[in-house]
Amino acid sequence: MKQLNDENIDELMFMLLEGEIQGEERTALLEAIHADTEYSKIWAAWQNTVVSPSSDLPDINIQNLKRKSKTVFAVHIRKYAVAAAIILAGFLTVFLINRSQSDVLDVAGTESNKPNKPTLQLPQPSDKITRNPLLPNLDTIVTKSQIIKSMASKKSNIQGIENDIEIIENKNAPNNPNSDFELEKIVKHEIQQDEKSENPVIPAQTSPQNEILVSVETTKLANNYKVQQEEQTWLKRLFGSSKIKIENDTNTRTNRKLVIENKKYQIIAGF
Amino acid sequence: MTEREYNSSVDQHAKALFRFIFKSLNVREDAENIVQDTFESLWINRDKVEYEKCKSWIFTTAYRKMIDGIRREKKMTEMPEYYQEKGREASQPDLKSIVSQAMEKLPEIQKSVIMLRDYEGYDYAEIGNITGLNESQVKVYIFRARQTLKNYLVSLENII
Repeated sequence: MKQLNDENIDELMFMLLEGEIQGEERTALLEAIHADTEYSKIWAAWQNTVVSPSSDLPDINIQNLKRKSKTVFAVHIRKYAVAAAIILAGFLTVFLINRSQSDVLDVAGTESNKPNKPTLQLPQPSDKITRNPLLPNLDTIVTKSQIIKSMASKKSNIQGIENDIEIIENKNAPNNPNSDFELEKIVKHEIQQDEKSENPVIPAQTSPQNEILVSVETTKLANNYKVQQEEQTWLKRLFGSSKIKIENDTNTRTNRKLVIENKKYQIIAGF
Repeated sequence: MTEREYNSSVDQHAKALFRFIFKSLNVREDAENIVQDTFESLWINRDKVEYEKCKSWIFTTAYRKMIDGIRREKKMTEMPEYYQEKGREASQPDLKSIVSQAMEKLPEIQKSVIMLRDYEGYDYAEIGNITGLNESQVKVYIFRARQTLKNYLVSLENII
Protein backbone atom coordinates (compact mmCIF):
# COMPACT_ATOMS: atom_id res chain seq x y z
CA MET A 1 0.00 0.00 0.00
CA LYS A 2 1.28 3.41 -1.03
CA GLN A 3 2.04 5.97 1.66
CA LEU A 4 0.86 9.56 1.20
CA ASN A 5 3.63 12.18 1.17
CA ASP A 6 4.46 15.53 -0.46
CA GLU A 7 6.16 13.78 -3.33
CA ASN A 8 3.26 11.59 -4.46
CA ILE A 9 0.27 13.55 -3.13
CA ASP A 10 -0.84 14.84 -6.59
CA GLU A 11 -0.44 11.47 -8.24
CA LEU A 12 -2.37 9.59 -5.53
CA MET A 13 -5.14 12.20 -5.33
CA PHE A 14 -5.53 12.14 -9.13
CA MET A 15 -5.81 8.33 -9.01
CA LEU A 16 -8.39 8.58 -6.24
CA LEU A 17 -10.34 11.14 -8.22
CA GLU A 18 -10.26 9.05 -11.41
CA GLY A 19 -11.33 5.94 -9.50
CA GLU A 20 -8.14 4.06 -10.19
CA ILE A 21 -7.66 3.21 -6.50
CA GLN A 22 -10.46 1.14 -4.99
CA GLY A 23 -11.24 -0.97 -1.95
CA GLU A 24 -9.23 -0.91 1.27
CA GLU A 25 -6.42 1.09 -0.26
CA ARG A 26 -8.84 3.88 -1.15
CA THR A 27 -10.37 3.88 2.29
CA ALA A 28 -6.96 4.03 3.96
CA LEU A 29 -5.79 6.88 1.75
CA LEU A 30 -8.96 8.91 2.38
CA GLU A 31 -8.53 8.43 6.13
CA ALA A 32 -4.96 9.67 5.90
CA ILE A 33 -6.07 12.73 3.89
CA HIS A 34 -8.82 13.67 6.35
CA ALA A 35 -6.40 13.27 9.24
CA ASP A 36 -4.26 16.14 7.85
CA THR A 37 -5.79 19.63 7.44
CA GLU A 38 -3.44 20.67 4.66
CA TYR A 39 -4.06 17.46 2.71
CA SER A 40 -7.81 17.93 3.19
CA LYS A 41 -7.67 21.37 1.54
CA ILE A 42 -5.64 20.01 -1.35
CA TRP A 43 -8.03 17.06 -1.75
CA ALA A 44 -11.00 19.50 -1.81
CA ALA A 45 -9.27 21.47 -4.56
CA TRP A 46 -8.69 18.28 -6.55
CA GLN A 47 -12.37 17.38 -6.23
CA ASN A 48 -13.33 20.80 -7.58
CA THR A 49 -11.40 20.16 -10.79
CA VAL A 50 -14.26 17.94 -11.98
CA VAL A 51 -16.19 20.32 -14.23
CA SER A 52 -19.87 20.20 -15.07
CA PRO A 53 -21.78 22.04 -17.78
CA SER A 54 -23.06 25.37 -16.56
CA SER A 55 -26.77 26.04 -16.90
CA ASP A 56 -26.26 29.50 -18.41
CA LEU A 57 -24.75 28.12 -21.61
CA PRO A 58 -26.73 28.99 -24.75
CA ASP A 59 -28.80 26.27 -26.37
CA ILE A 60 -29.06 25.12 -29.97
CA ASN A 61 -32.22 24.47 -31.98
CA ILE A 62 -31.86 20.81 -32.89
CA GLN A 63 -34.99 20.72 -35.08
CA ASN A 64 -32.99 22.36 -37.87
CA LEU A 65 -30.61 19.40 -37.86
CA LYS A 66 -33.29 16.75 -38.39
CA ARG A 67 -34.23 15.26 -41.74
CA LYS A 68 -37.66 14.82 -43.27
CA SER A 69 -37.55 12.75 -46.42
CA LYS A 70 -41.33 12.97 -46.93
CA THR A 71 -41.00 16.61 -47.87
CA VAL A 72 -38.51 15.80 -50.60
CA PHE A 73 -40.81 13.08 -51.92
CA ALA A 74 -43.75 15.47 -52.01
CA VAL A 75 -41.74 17.99 -54.02
CA HIS A 76 -40.97 15.31 -56.63
CA ILE A 77 -44.60 14.23 -56.77
CA ARG A 78 -45.63 17.82 -57.44
CA LYS A 79 -43.17 18.08 -60.32
CA TYR A 80 -44.45 14.86 -61.90
CA ALA A 81 -48.06 15.96 -61.45
CA VAL A 82 -47.40 19.25 -63.26
CA ALA A 83 -45.60 17.45 -66.10
CA ALA A 84 -48.43 14.93 -66.44
CA ALA A 85 -51.03 17.69 -66.45
CA ILE A 86 -49.21 19.57 -69.24
CA ILE A 87 -48.93 16.43 -71.39
CA LEU A 88 -52.60 15.55 -70.87
CA ALA A 89 -53.68 19.09 -71.70
CA GLY A 90 -51.64 18.91 -74.92
CA PHE A 91 -53.23 15.65 -76.01
CA LEU A 92 -56.70 16.94 -75.16
CA THR A 93 -56.14 20.08 -77.23
CA VAL A 94 -54.98 18.07 -80.25
CA PHE A 95 -57.95 15.76 -79.86
CA LEU A 96 -60.46 18.61 -79.70
CA ILE A 97 -58.91 20.36 -82.72
CA ASN A 98 -59.12 17.13 -84.71
CA ARG A 99 -62.74 16.62 -83.76
CA SER A 100 -63.79 20.10 -84.77
CA GLN A 101 -62.14 19.70 -88.19
CA SER A 102 -63.55 16.23 -88.97
CA ASP A 103 -66.38 15.54 -91.43
CA VAL A 104 -69.71 14.34 -89.97
CA LEU A 105 -72.27 12.10 -91.65
CA ASP A 106 -75.47 14.06 -92.36
CA VAL A 107 -78.92 12.54 -92.63
CA ALA A 108 -81.90 13.92 -94.51
CA GLY A 109 -84.21 16.03 -92.43
CA THR A 110 -81.49 17.60 -90.35
CA GLU A 111 -80.34 21.15 -90.87
CA SER A 112 -76.97 21.41 -92.52
CA ASN A 113 -75.07 24.03 -94.50
CA LYS A 114 -72.78 21.52 -96.17
CA PRO A 115 -74.34 20.73 -99.58
CA ASN A 116 -72.02 17.91 -100.63
CA LYS A 117 -72.58 15.61 -97.68
CA PRO A 118 -73.95 12.14 -98.54
CA THR A 119 -77.56 11.61 -97.46
CA LEU A 120 -79.14 8.55 -95.97
CA GLN A 121 -82.96 8.56 -96.10
CA LEU A 122 -84.63 6.23 -93.65
CA PRO A 123 -88.16 5.79 -92.30
CA GLN A 124 -88.79 7.21 -88.85
CA PRO A 125 -87.64 4.60 -86.34
CA SER A 126 -89.23 3.79 -83.05
CA ASP A 127 -87.18 2.57 -80.15
CA LYS A 128 -89.90 0.14 -79.00
CA ILE A 129 -88.54 -3.33 -78.54
CA THR A 130 -90.11 -5.94 -80.82
CA ARG A 131 -89.48 -9.53 -81.80
CA ASN A 132 -86.78 -10.02 -84.39
CA PRO A 133 -88.63 -10.39 -87.74
CA LEU A 134 -85.46 -11.57 -89.43
CA LEU A 135 -85.21 -14.52 -87.09
CA PRO A 136 -88.85 -15.17 -85.98
CA ASN A 137 -88.09 -18.66 -84.70
CA LEU A 138 -85.42 -17.48 -82.30
CA ASP A 139 -86.34 -15.95 -79.01
CA THR A 140 -84.20 -12.83 -79.52
CA ILE A 141 -85.20 -9.21 -79.06
CA VAL A 142 -84.00 -6.43 -81.35
CA THR A 143 -84.95 -2.77 -81.70
CA LYS A 144 -86.38 -1.30 -84.86
CA SER A 145 -83.29 0.82 -85.18
CA GLN A 146 -81.22 -2.32 -85.45
CA ILE A 147 -83.56 -3.72 -88.09
CA ILE A 148 -83.31 -0.56 -90.16
CA LYS A 149 -79.56 -0.52 -89.81
CA SER A 150 -79.43 -4.13 -90.97
CA MET A 151 -81.51 -3.29 -94.02
CA ALA A 152 -79.40 -0.26 -94.85
CA SER A 153 -76.30 -2.35 -94.56
CA LYS A 154 -77.64 -4.89 -97.04
CA LYS A 155 -78.50 -2.17 -99.49
CA SER A 156 -75.14 -0.49 -99.24
CA ASN A 157 -73.23 -3.76 -99.81
CA ILE A 158 -70.64 -2.64 -97.26
CA GLN A 159 -69.92 -5.32 -94.68
CA GLY A 160 -69.91 -4.40 -91.01
CA ILE A 161 -71.46 -1.00 -91.53
CA GLU A 162 -74.49 -1.59 -89.26
CA ASN A 163 -72.86 -0.33 -86.09
CA ASP A 164 -71.53 2.78 -87.81
CA ILE A 165 -74.84 4.04 -89.23
CA GLU A 166 -76.38 6.78 -87.18
CA ILE A 167 -80.17 7.10 -87.50
CA ILE A 168 -81.57 10.58 -87.14
CA GLU A 169 -85.27 11.27 -87.00
CA ASN A 170 -86.78 12.27 -90.36
CA LYS A 171 -89.36 14.93 -89.57
CA ASN A 172 -90.80 14.76 -93.11
CA ALA A 173 -91.67 11.08 -92.88
CA PRO A 174 -95.41 10.32 -92.47
CA ASN A 175 -96.57 9.36 -89.01
CA ASN A 176 -98.07 5.95 -89.67
CA PRO A 177 -99.90 4.34 -86.72
CA ASN A 178 -99.36 0.92 -88.33
CA SER A 179 -95.66 1.48 -88.80
CA ASP A 180 -94.78 -1.60 -86.82
CA PHE A 181 -96.87 -3.75 -89.09
CA GLU A 182 -95.59 -2.02 -92.23
CA LEU A 183 -92.00 -2.37 -91.13
CA GLU A 184 -92.47 -6.06 -90.51
CA LYS A 185 -93.92 -6.44 -93.96
CA ILE A 186 -90.98 -4.59 -95.48
CA VAL A 187 -88.48 -6.72 -93.70
CA LYS A 188 -90.26 -9.90 -94.69
CA HIS A 189 -90.32 -8.65 -98.23
CA GLU A 190 -86.60 -8.06 -98.08
CA ILE A 191 -85.99 -11.58 -96.89
CA GLN A 192 -88.19 -12.92 -99.65
CA GLN A 193 -86.30 -10.83 -102.18
CA ASP A 194 -83.06 -12.35 -100.98
CA GLU A 195 -84.48 -15.87 -101.31
CA LYS A 196 -85.75 -15.07 -104.80
CA SER A 197 -82.39 -13.83 -105.89
CA GLU A 198 -80.99 -17.20 -104.85
CA ASN A 199 -83.93 -19.00 -106.61
CA PRO A 200 -84.87 -16.76 -109.55
CA VAL A 201 -87.64 -19.11 -110.75
CA ILE A 202 -90.20 -17.70 -108.31
CA PRO A 203 -91.48 -14.23 -109.37
CA ALA A 204 -91.91 -11.28 -107.01
CA GLN A 205 -95.40 -10.94 -105.46
CA THR A 206 -95.19 -7.75 -103.45
CA SER A 207 -97.03 -4.57 -104.28
CA PRO A 208 -95.07 -1.40 -105.18
CA GLN A 209 -96.34 0.46 -102.12
CA ASN A 210 -94.58 -2.06 -99.85
CA GLU A 211 -91.24 -1.60 -101.55
CA ILE A 212 -88.25 -0.90 -99.38
CA LEU A 213 -87.97 2.72 -98.28
CA VAL A 214 -84.26 2.66 -97.63
CA SER A 215 -82.04 4.30 -100.21
CA VAL A 216 -78.34 4.66 -99.79
CA GLU A 217 -75.79 6.46 -101.93
CA THR A 218 -73.25 3.71 -101.62
CA THR A 219 -70.21 5.49 -103.04
CA LYS A 220 -70.45 8.52 -100.83
CA LEU A 221 -71.48 6.46 -97.86
CA ALA A 222 -68.43 4.28 -98.27
CA ASN A 223 -66.24 7.37 -98.31
CA ASN A 224 -67.96 8.78 -95.26
CA TYR A 225 -67.68 5.46 -93.51
CA LYS A 226 -63.95 5.66 -93.94
CA VAL A 227 -63.91 9.18 -92.52
CA GLN A 228 -65.86 8.06 -89.48
CA GLN A 229 -63.59 5.10 -88.93
CA GLU A 230 -60.56 7.38 -89.05
CA GLU A 231 -62.16 9.76 -86.59
CA GLN A 232 -62.66 7.00 -84.07
CA THR A 233 -58.98 6.08 -84.18
CA TRP A 234 -57.60 9.60 -83.73
CA LEU A 235 -54.74 8.29 -81.65
CA LYS A 236 -53.81 6.02 -84.51
CA ARG A 237 -53.99 8.99 -86.83
CA LEU A 238 -51.80 10.99 -84.51
CA PHE A 239 -48.94 8.55 -84.38
CA GLY A 240 -49.73 6.00 -87.12
CA SER A 241 -48.14 6.79 -90.48
CA SER A 242 -46.48 9.83 -88.90
CA LYS A 243 -42.91 10.92 -89.33
CA ILE A 244 -40.97 11.33 -86.13
CA LYS A 245 -37.72 13.20 -86.34
CA ILE A 246 -35.31 15.11 -84.07
CA GLU A 247 -34.07 18.49 -85.26
CA ASN A 248 -31.54 20.99 -83.94
CA ASP A 249 -32.97 23.97 -82.10
CA THR A 250 -30.80 26.34 -80.09
CA ASN A 251 -33.82 27.70 -78.24
CA THR A 252 -34.32 24.46 -76.28
CA ARG A 253 -32.40 23.27 -73.25
CA THR A 254 -30.89 20.26 -75.03
CA ASN A 255 -30.55 22.09 -78.39
CA ARG A 256 -32.90 19.47 -79.84
CA LYS A 257 -36.60 19.34 -80.63
CA LEU A 258 -38.87 16.41 -81.36
CA VAL A 259 -41.13 16.75 -84.40
CA ILE A 260 -44.10 14.45 -85.09
CA GLU A 261 -45.89 15.22 -88.34
CA ASN A 262 -48.16 13.77 -90.99
CA LYS A 263 -50.30 15.24 -93.76
CA LYS A 264 -52.66 17.13 -91.48
CA TYR A 265 -50.66 18.41 -88.54
CA GLN A 266 -47.29 18.83 -86.95
CA ILE A 267 -46.39 18.50 -83.26
CA ILE A 268 -43.15 20.07 -82.03
CA ALA A 269 -41.78 19.39 -78.56
CA GLY A 270 -38.67 21.10 -77.26
CA PHE A 271 -36.76 19.85 -74.19
CA MET B 1 -28.17 4.17 -40.02
CA THR B 2 -31.76 4.89 -40.90
CA GLU B 3 -33.41 8.28 -41.03
CA ARG B 4 -35.14 7.56 -37.73
CA GLU B 5 -31.83 6.60 -36.10
CA TYR B 6 -30.20 9.72 -37.49
CA ASN B 7 -32.94 11.91 -36.02
CA SER B 8 -32.63 10.02 -32.75
CA SER B 9 -28.88 10.73 -32.67
CA VAL B 10 -29.65 14.42 -33.17
CA ASP B 11 -32.00 14.29 -30.19
CA GLN B 12 -29.46 12.51 -28.01
CA HIS B 13 -26.15 14.16 -28.89
CA ALA B 14 -26.66 17.52 -30.59
CA LYS B 15 -26.99 19.56 -27.43
CA ALA B 16 -24.04 17.88 -25.73
CA LEU B 17 -21.93 18.37 -28.84
CA PHE B 18 -22.86 22.03 -29.04
CA ARG B 19 -22.01 22.47 -25.36
CA PHE B 20 -18.62 20.86 -25.86
CA ILE B 21 -17.76 22.94 -28.93
CA PHE B 22 -19.11 26.19 -27.52
CA LYS B 23 -17.15 25.70 -24.29
CA SER B 24 -14.02 25.25 -26.37
CA LEU B 25 -14.54 28.12 -28.82
CA ASN B 26 -16.74 30.49 -26.85
CA VAL B 27 -18.24 31.79 -30.09
CA ARG B 28 -21.83 30.74 -30.55
CA GLU B 29 -21.98 31.08 -34.35
CA ASP B 30 -18.81 29.03 -34.83
CA ALA B 31 -20.08 26.33 -32.48
CA GLU B 32 -23.42 26.17 -34.31
CA ASN B 33 -21.68 25.93 -37.67
CA ILE B 34 -19.48 23.07 -36.50
CA VAL B 35 -22.47 21.18 -35.09
CA GLN B 36 -24.37 21.77 -38.33
CA ASP B 37 -21.44 20.59 -40.46
CA THR B 38 -20.93 17.55 -38.27
CA PHE B 39 -24.51 16.35 -38.56
CA GLU B 40 -24.46 17.10 -42.28
CA SER B 41 -21.46 14.79 -42.55
CA LEU B 42 -23.25 12.18 -40.46
CA TRP B 43 -26.26 12.29 -42.81
CA ILE B 44 -24.02 11.94 -45.87
CA ASN B 45 -22.13 9.02 -44.29
CA ARG B 46 -25.13 7.44 -42.60
CA ASP B 47 -24.67 4.20 -44.53
CA LYS B 48 -21.14 3.82 -43.15
CA VAL B 49 -21.76 4.84 -39.54
CA GLU B 50 -23.36 2.38 -37.13
CA TYR B 51 -25.98 3.87 -34.87
CA GLU B 52 -24.36 2.36 -31.75
CA LYS B 53 -21.06 4.10 -32.52
CA CYS B 54 -22.45 7.36 -33.82
CA LYS B 55 -21.77 9.37 -30.64
CA SER B 56 -18.04 8.73 -30.86
CA TRP B 57 -18.14 9.47 -34.62
CA ILE B 58 -19.97 12.74 -34.05
CA PHE B 59 -17.60 14.00 -31.36
CA THR B 60 -14.52 12.91 -33.32
CA THR B 61 -15.69 14.70 -36.45
CA ALA B 62 -16.71 17.82 -34.56
CA TYR B 63 -13.45 17.90 -32.61
CA ARG B 64 -11.41 17.71 -35.82
CA LYS B 65 -13.47 20.43 -37.43
CA MET B 66 -13.01 22.57 -34.35
CA ILE B 67 -9.22 22.07 -34.28
CA ASP B 68 -9.04 22.86 -37.99
CA GLY B 69 -11.04 26.02 -37.39
CA ILE B 70 -8.85 27.06 -34.49
CA ARG B 71 -5.69 26.51 -36.47
CA ARG B 72 -7.12 28.44 -39.39
CA GLU B 73 -8.41 31.44 -37.55
CA LYS B 74 -6.25 31.34 -34.42
CA LYS B 75 -9.15 32.34 -32.28
CA MET B 76 -7.75 30.93 -29.08
CA THR B 77 -4.93 33.46 -28.68
CA GLU B 78 -6.83 35.66 -26.27
CA MET B 79 -9.61 35.22 -23.81
CA PRO B 80 -13.02 35.37 -25.46
CA GLU B 81 -15.36 38.28 -24.95
CA TYR B 82 -18.05 36.09 -23.39
CA TYR B 83 -15.88 35.21 -20.42
CA GLN B 84 -14.25 38.62 -20.14
CA GLU B 85 -17.71 40.12 -19.68
CA LYS B 86 -18.73 37.39 -17.27
CA GLY B 87 -15.62 38.00 -15.22
CA ARG B 88 -16.28 41.71 -14.99
CA GLU B 89 -19.92 41.25 -14.03
CA ALA B 90 -19.21 38.78 -11.25
CA SER B 91 -17.73 40.68 -8.38
CA GLN B 92 -17.69 37.61 -6.14
CA PRO B 93 -17.61 34.69 -8.54
CA ASP B 94 -18.73 31.30 -7.32
CA LEU B 95 -16.59 28.20 -7.53
CA LYS B 96 -18.07 27.10 -10.86
CA SER B 97 -17.20 30.32 -12.63
CA ILE B 98 -13.71 30.28 -11.10
CA VAL B 99 -13.15 26.80 -12.52
CA SER B 100 -14.51 28.00 -15.86
CA GLN B 101 -12.05 30.89 -15.87
CA ALA B 102 -9.25 28.51 -15.03
CA MET B 103 -10.38 26.19 -17.82
CA GLU B 104 -9.96 28.98 -20.34
CA LYS B 105 -6.29 29.20 -19.48
CA LEU B 106 -5.69 25.56 -20.26
CA PRO B 107 -4.13 24.52 -23.56
CA GLU B 108 -6.76 23.48 -26.11
CA ILE B 109 -6.02 19.77 -25.97
CA GLN B 110 -6.17 19.68 -22.14
CA LYS B 111 -9.48 21.54 -22.17
CA SER B 112 -10.92 19.17 -24.73
CA VAL B 113 -9.97 15.99 -22.89
CA ILE B 114 -11.26 17.38 -19.57
CA MET B 115 -14.59 18.29 -21.15
CA LEU B 116 -14.92 14.95 -22.90
CA ARG B 117 -14.14 13.24 -19.62
CA ASP B 118 -16.37 15.30 -17.33
CA TYR B 119 -19.18 16.50 -19.61
CA GLU B 120 -19.66 13.35 -21.64
CA GLY B 121 -18.20 10.69 -19.32
CA TYR B 122 -15.92 9.12 -21.94
CA ASP B 123 -13.16 6.77 -20.80
CA TYR B 124 -9.54 7.25 -21.84
CA ALA B 125 -9.82 4.98 -24.86
CA GLU B 126 -12.87 6.78 -26.25
CA ILE B 127 -11.26 10.17 -25.71
CA GLY B 128 -8.19 8.82 -27.48
CA ASN B 129 -10.33 7.82 -30.47
CA ILE B 130 -11.88 11.26 -30.67
CA THR B 131 -8.71 13.27 -30.25
CA GLY B 132 -6.33 10.95 -32.03
CA LEU B 133 -4.24 10.31 -28.90
CA ASN B 134 -3.37 7.05 -27.19
CA GLU B 135 -4.69 6.22 -23.71
CA SER B 136 -1.46 7.15 -21.92
CA GLN B 137 -1.37 10.53 -23.59
CA VAL B 138 -4.98 11.14 -22.67
CA LYS B 139 -4.29 10.24 -19.05
CA VAL B 140 -1.28 12.56 -18.95
CA TYR B 141 -3.22 15.46 -20.46
CA ILE B 142 -6.10 14.96 -18.01
CA PHE B 143 -3.66 14.81 -15.09
CA ARG B 144 -1.91 18.01 -16.17
CA ALA B 145 -5.22 19.78 -16.70
CA ARG B 146 -6.54 18.83 -13.26
CA GLN B 147 -3.26 19.69 -11.63
CA THR B 148 -3.34 23.16 -13.22
CA LEU B 149 -6.94 23.69 -12.08
CA LYS B 150 -6.10 22.46 -8.59
CA ASN B 151 -3.12 24.80 -8.32
CA TYR B 152 -5.25 27.70 -9.52
CA LEU B 153 -7.94 26.96 -6.92
CA VAL B 154 -5.41 26.49 -4.10
CA SER B 155 -3.58 29.71 -4.98
CA LEU B 156 -6.88 31.61 -5.16
CA GLU B 157 -7.85 30.20 -1.76
CA ASN B 158 -4.56 31.37 -0.32
CA ILE B 159 -5.13 34.88 -1.71
CA ILE B 160 -8.68 35.07 -0.34
